[in-house]
Amino acid sequence: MTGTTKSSGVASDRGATSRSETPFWVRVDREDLFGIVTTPTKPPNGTAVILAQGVSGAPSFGRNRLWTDLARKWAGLGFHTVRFAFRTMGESTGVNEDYHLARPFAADVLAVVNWTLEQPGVERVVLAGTCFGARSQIEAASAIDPLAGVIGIPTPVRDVGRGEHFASYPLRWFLRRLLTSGPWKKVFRLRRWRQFRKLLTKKWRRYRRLTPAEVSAENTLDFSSRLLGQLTELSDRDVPVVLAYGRQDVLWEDVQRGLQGELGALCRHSETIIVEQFTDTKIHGLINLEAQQLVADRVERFLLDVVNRHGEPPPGSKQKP
Amino acid sequence: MSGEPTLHRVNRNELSPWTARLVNWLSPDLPHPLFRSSQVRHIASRLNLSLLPAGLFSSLNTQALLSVAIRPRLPSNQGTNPSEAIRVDDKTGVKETFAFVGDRVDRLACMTHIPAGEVRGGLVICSSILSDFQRNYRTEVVMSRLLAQRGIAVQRFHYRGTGNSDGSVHETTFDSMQEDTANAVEHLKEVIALQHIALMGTRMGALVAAAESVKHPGSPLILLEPIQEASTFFSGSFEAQLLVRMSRDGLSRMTEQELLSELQTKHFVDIVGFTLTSALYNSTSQVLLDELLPMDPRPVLLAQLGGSTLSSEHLDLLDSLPPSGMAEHIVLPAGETWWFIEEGGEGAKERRPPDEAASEIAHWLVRATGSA
Repeated sequence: MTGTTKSSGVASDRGATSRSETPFWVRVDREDLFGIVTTPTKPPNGTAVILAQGVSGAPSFGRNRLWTDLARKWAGLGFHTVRFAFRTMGESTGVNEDYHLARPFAADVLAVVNWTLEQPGVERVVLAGTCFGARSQIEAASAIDPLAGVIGIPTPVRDVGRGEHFASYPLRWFLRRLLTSGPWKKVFRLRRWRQFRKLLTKKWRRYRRLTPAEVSAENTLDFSSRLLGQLTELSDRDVPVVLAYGRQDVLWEDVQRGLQGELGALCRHSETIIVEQFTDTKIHGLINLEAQQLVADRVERFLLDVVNRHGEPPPGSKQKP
Repeated sequence: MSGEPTLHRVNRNELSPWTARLVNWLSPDLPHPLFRSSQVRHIASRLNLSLLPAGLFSSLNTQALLSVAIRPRLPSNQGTNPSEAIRVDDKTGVKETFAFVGDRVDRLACMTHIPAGEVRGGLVICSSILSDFQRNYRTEVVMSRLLAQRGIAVQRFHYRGTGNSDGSVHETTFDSMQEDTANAVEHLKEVIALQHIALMGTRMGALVAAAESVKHPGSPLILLEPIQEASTFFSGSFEAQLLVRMSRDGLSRMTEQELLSELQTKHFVDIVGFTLTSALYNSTSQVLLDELLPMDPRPVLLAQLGGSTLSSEHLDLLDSLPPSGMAEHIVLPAGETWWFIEEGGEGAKERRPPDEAASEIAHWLVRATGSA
């Protein structure tokens, strides 16, 4: 772990307040997306950060208001920061039960990015997302210009439906996980037997829920070829991309398989695509304050790198008409 | 994006800097800021914008043209106040306004849902806290929209130190949540002309709603799956955190008491990825719902999630209410375990309240508002 875990995941003491924020609605595909842009409290550095979260019903402010805290903190570093809710989530409109990583909400990202690029002081954007949000951003990236960087933390690399990530794993995968997990190794310490029983029950129910009788035929154990193409294009445009994971993330296992194949080849030849395991803990879902702090620190480091790199117009940009 | 671009007639002083920049960029050879109508047409054609009717346009002189601001890509319902954003639903006509509200340094994030037609009642929703707040968020949004379709003006808000509101999480206490609720009630009263604004509290929010309702005699009160003793809520949250630690680190030797001790020492503790502060815990943990319930006769609705009949706990709560003649209950479809938001959305299907539930609450509220 790097740094100290702070009470709210990140420190926001030196940042902005709602007085530096403008809420907005953006229409896309007949749905209205809700978002808030936080404007810098010091001279803007020209970079706007677009934050996007996964699909666990997260509102625009993110889990434990992490996005709010980050946006207000980064305002003190000269960044514009936009937090928004995808369609069907938070304040945004729409109904959708069909969340699939092969069909991320790229149009939503594009709409928000276009709106952001119209704001005074914004010259380029950086995309920072988690899980489904990260995939949506990478999907949208090819249509975004000027794009200064993309960080997915973590980014799923298989094309699976919501709640079906585990469904395509064989039974032996579950058995291996169970036998190597911490609680099982210490099962004979019965002093916490009641807690352990609850945990086991919870995990069993989860297993049952995550392995439904019928799963989407689109699900695959392979690295997404669609994602690979998008990463290749970003590499060709010389756009910095970071895919960051925790060692305990299940998604990291998928990435490791990918690194043995075409993703590994891409990373070896590209100077801008970085795939890394930056912590030993689990960060997927931002399920504890430590993970939130780690993600905040890693994204901030990436942003500062981008700003340092792009004192000049971003190299990934295409010529404007 | 597919937002219909429009031309807005606005005050000359309201021309935004980027509009001027955009126009300059498109037509650098044009003298700025004076434009002839043909030049505006040229700019508009470059942006693929629709224009005002030709007749109206041709009658505009140069001075009038200056009052035309081109605002592409913004929905036509975008508010002009930078602290608020407005949308009007195409199908239902419900107007939704998100605004940062208040004169204090730390303002409240408020979302107001106003019906298209007659306003038959007003409702302020007091959300729960920590994981509950996020878990129920979408449900409360959808519920508010459904209620607004049925003539109920709804005010939602984020407690200071939470969500999009200002303030530090360390400043959130039971008192501050009550104060925020009072501000939300006042805000709704400014929007709609109703004397009696109902309060609805969800889980821990029920304690806040009950405490605030005492200040509004006769106002209807809705308790949605209320927590009756705050200490049980926190006890459940501690247990959830201990389970998570066990899952992550192996069999944790930490007990609930030790977690509580950590809370008092560090002034915060991690509860399943949410920050519980000692300020919130100390100000709330001894609160009991039946001690907060208003004693004056008023309509009260107790809504239970799941089950076929009211639980004995809720029956006791109903018994403890003063005889008002309007203490009722409904049973709504059950949700899942409150404390665990699934990681990365795994298995977390959207929890939308059925239309019938919204209808029941709306009908009750209309009757209750009438009787109040």
